[in-house]
Formats: sequence, structure tokens, C-alpha cells
Amino acid sequence: MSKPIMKTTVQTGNWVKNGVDVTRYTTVIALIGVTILFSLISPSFFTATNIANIFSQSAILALVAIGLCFVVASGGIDLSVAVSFDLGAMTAIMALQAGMGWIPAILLGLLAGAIIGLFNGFFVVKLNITPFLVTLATLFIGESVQKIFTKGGEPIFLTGMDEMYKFLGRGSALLIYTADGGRIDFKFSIILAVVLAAVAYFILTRTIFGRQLFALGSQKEASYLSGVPVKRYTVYAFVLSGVICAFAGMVGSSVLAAYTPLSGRYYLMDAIGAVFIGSTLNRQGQANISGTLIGVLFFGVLANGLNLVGINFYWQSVARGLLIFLILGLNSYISQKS
Amino acid sequence: MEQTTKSVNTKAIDFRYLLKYSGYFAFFIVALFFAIQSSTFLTPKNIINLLVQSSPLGIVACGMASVLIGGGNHVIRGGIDLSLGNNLALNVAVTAVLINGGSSFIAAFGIAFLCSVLIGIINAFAIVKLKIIPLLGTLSMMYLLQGIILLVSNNKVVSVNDPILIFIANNAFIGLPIPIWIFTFVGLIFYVVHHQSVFGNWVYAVGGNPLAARTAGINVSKALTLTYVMAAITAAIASILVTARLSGSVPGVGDIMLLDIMLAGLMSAIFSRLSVPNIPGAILSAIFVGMLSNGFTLINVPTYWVYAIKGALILAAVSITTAQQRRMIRNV
Repeated sequence: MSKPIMKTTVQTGNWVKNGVDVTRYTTVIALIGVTILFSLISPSFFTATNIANIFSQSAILALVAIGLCFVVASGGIDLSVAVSFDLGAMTAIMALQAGMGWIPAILLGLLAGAIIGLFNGFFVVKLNITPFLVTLATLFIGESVQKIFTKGGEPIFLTGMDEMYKFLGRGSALLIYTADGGRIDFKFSIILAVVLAAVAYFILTRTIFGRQLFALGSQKEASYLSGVPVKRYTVYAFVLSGVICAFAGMVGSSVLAAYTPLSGRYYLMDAIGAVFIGSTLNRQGQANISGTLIGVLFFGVLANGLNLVGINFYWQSVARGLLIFLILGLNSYISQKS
Repeated sequence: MEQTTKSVNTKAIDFRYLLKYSGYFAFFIVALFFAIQSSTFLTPKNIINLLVQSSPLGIVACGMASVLIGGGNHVIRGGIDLSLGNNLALNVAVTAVLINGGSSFIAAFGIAFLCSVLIGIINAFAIVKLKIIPLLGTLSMMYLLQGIILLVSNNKVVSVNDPILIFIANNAFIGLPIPIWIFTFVGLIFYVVHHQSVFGNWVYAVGGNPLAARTAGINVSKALTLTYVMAAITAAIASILVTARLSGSVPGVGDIMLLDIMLAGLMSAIFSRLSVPNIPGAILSAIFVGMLSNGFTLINVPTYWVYAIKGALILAAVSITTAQQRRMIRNV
């Protein structure tokens, strides 16, 4: 027997201090750097009101990204988060319109997400098709279904929406009026995102299911041979992703008091970006909740800050792409150096 | 005794021989369905129309396939180029804006082409040198390009009226429109490069196992870099056809094309015995996607339904083929 590998401090040069690998935190440092930069340029950026805004605006993307995290952890990818998002919202809004209460409406919406997840899982697991292709097809089908139900993409507006449903996205968790008439409004959706993130963090890092999900994500064959129910867990990951994204869709529709068809695509690429930026914070490059949330915040801060600084909308996309590119490049440059 | 084994063997070979073509069967069954449903589907005019419609997609699909071949089939770390759609759109925008600004087609397209190659090199640099996973590296490139396209085109429709573009869009050579010739030409080059040359074997080796390929003396970085640059070049070539067909630049072309490009590239595996991406498969998949749009329009399926049926059919084709291929690989 060799010695137990208890404390192997990986000596990779000066970058490792007290066992903390500094190289992995490029994104965090970049997030702090960007925040400081925006605060210096725009006086209204680093105010309580605006910070509440950033958090409230990021909540929905955070929910979608958390859902996606499960699938990415299991070594797959889910492009149909966009469709789960939309169909969850559509089902719930249609149920509300039909006069149902908010609880059955939300449950139906979640069910829609679960069905999409099961559909994806079935094709990935039973027929062994690459998740890219399956979820792409689901994306096509789902977008078409929305067009069929909305006569080509008309939004469904809800007048007199259920108060509880409205509270999901529009309600405030913490509303402070400052002396000078300012309004600091932390939306309820922030709490939803934080609670869900905590639960997802617990599931992914503290339960057998979560650990085995990572195992099958990095070594499918090995985990199969060591008794991980690979197929079942892959399906669970897709179902969780579908359900959580459907929930995100409902929160989104509650913010708008309407269901807008094909709005999920807007979140798709950002969610993928956030999850994978987050994965650079992990030593093994695995998807993780805390990193994902940092990625989401990064997107939120950038969108908000670039607006406040007064940069042209056209330049915002350029700036975003350039910054992500630089961070990723720097991150891998530093970690290769050490 | 000997006879029985022999007969079993021949049977197995026949079986494999058929399964090798199951992707093609799916293709023909769908074509047959359209031919029965609509009398105009199999007319030469419609077939030419269909090929012209699918040529830009087919050209970029070749590029996507070469990235997929070189990157390997890992879902997250495997090769993929999400920037291809917007690379194409950037080319369209740059060409249209420059022509409107008074430069000749050759100059305008030359600059656009250089932009594309540069994008390909940056992608390759990020992936090969900086070791960013392709999905993320090309995703950030996609964001970047989206912004640049908005800046270049000012988010407006830029229409152009250039004699060369009009010539490409409207003229035919030996009975076939110019886009089909360009499509054929690019397809042939990619086929030769990937399936008949040493370089093609290198790329497959790199995709299969980069470490083994390096040990065998293949310049992995060079092979990977070339696949990304080649993909970018296909986007540039396809952009001529798109510019000619739309007679200008329309905002949002790139985002619409991206999913189809991914689809055609990934679906190419069903036309292969071993389920790997390949060039003939990419070309056929692009035509398949074009055929679905064309056929459903001919038999008057409401447009809302088209994408749903498209998605379902693609899933069906892929699942049947994959299931059979798996059975066959187990036999081998």
C-alpha cells in the first residue's frame, strides 16, 4: 500500500499559495475588476438601487444556468433549455387563462419541462444519440409547437393575472425607500434563484447522486463499471434541467405578465456561456454552481454597466465577446505557465 | 461444418453491407414520400432549385464537418465551431457594405475573405494554443462577431446591385446554376482533402485520439488549426451565395443559419458506417435539410409545423441509423 494521499499540495509554482490555486480565479478577479472599472466611470453603477437591479435582472438567467449545470455535469449538453423555458411559461400561462389556480398552473408548467427532459433523456440514453443532436431536434420541435399554439408567435397577455403567480417575478423580497426617494428593490426572484442554487449545490456536491453524476460526466465507462446507474442518472439530469428551466420560464413570464413565444433562445447562449465560464473555476474544469453564478453575475454586470456607461448597444456585444475571450485566454495562459 | 460457418459469414456481410447504407435509405424514403405526395417534387427544375437552396448550407456544413472530425466526438470538449453562422453573416455584411461604398466585388469580397481567415486563425489560436474548449472559444467569438456585424451593417438591410453577384444568382453553366457548381467544387475539394489525402487521415487520427496521433508523429496543432481555418473559408465562400441570393445583407442571417449548420455537420455521422462525421454525409445532410423545407412547402404544410416535423424526422432518421449502427458495430 502506498501512503494515503491526504495532503498533496500541488506545487505548481508561485501561483499556489497555501493550497489555494490562484490561477483558477481569473473570472472572479475579472468580475471584481470590471465592477471597479464601472464604478469609477459611472457614479450610478455602484449604488444599492443599481445592485438590486443587477441581481434582479440576473435571477432568470441564473435559474436557466443552474438547470443546464446538471446536464453539463453529467457530460452532456442541453440546447433545449430554450424550449423548456418557453413551453413551461406557455403551459402555465394557458392554464391560468383557463381559470386554474396558481399551484396547478405552476405544476403543469413544471410537468411540461419534465416531459421535455424525459424526451431528451430517452433519445440520449436508449438510442445513444449525441445530446447535441437530440436537444437541437427538441429545440426545433419545441419552437414549432409554440408557433402552432400561438398562431405563429403572438404573445399571450394575461390581464388580471393571479396575484401569487405575479409575485414569482414581480414581487419584492426587500423593498427599501431611501431618504432621497430612491427605490432599492430586491426582487423575490433573487431568493428563488439563491434557494435553488443552494439546493442544486447541495445535490451536486453532497449527495451520492451528485457525485456520481460528476463521475459519469468525466468517465462514463469507468463509472458504469463501478456500478453507477449511468442511464437513469443521465435521464434525471435532463429532467432536472427541463423542470428548472420551465420554472425559469414561468418566472420570466410573470415578470412580463405575458408569455412571449421563442424568448428562451435569448437565454440559451448566455446560459451555456455562464456554465462554461463557471467551469473554469473548478480544478477539474467541471460544471459547478458557484462558478456558474459568477458567470451569470458577470453577464449581468457587463450588460448593466455597459448600458450605464453609455456604450452603444452595438458595441456591447463586441465588448462582451472580447472580454470573455480575454478572460478565458488569460485563464488558460496563466494555468499553462504554472 | 465449414459450410455452415461460411454461410453465416456471408449473411453477416450482407447484413453489414445493407446497414452501411441505412442513412441513405432514410434519405431516399423521405424523398420518395415527397415524390408521391407532390408531382412537382421530382421535376428537374425543382431539384435544381432545391440544390441551389441548400448550397450555402452544404458548403459551410463541409467546414463544420472538418472541425467535428478533427475535434473528436466528446460532447463538451469535442470540436465545434459556433462562430460559423456569424462568420458567414459578417462576410455578407462586409461585402454588401463595401460594394455599396463603391469598391469592386473582388476587393470587397477579398477583404471579407481575409476577415474570415483571421477569424479562423483566432479560433484556432484560442483552441490550440490557449487550450480553451472549442464550445466556449467559438461561443465568445460568436458574441464578438454579432457585435461587429451590428456595427458594420448598422443593423439595417443593405441591398447591393453588383453585376458579378447578379451573374452568380441568375446564370447557369452547362444547365446548372453557378451556386451548384461552387457547391460541387467545394464539396469535391473537401472530399479529396478529408477522404483521399494523408492530411485527411491525420485529421481523423487527431479527432480519434490526439495523444496517439502526436506519438505517431502527426503535427496535431497544425492539423487542428487547418480545420478551423478551412471552416472559416467555407463560411466566406458560402457568403457569396447568400449575398447573391438575398441581393444584400439582412440582419440575423447568422443566427438563423447556425443551428442548421450544426445540424448538418452532426447529422453527417448517420451516413457513415462507423458513425463518424464525414464530408459526403455533411453534403447529403445539408441537402436533406433543404429537401425537408422544400418538400413541406410543396405539399402545403403550414409553416408553423415545418420545424416540428423537421425535428421529428431528423430524430427518427438519426435514431434508426444509430440503433442499427450500434448493432452492427457489436457484430464486428
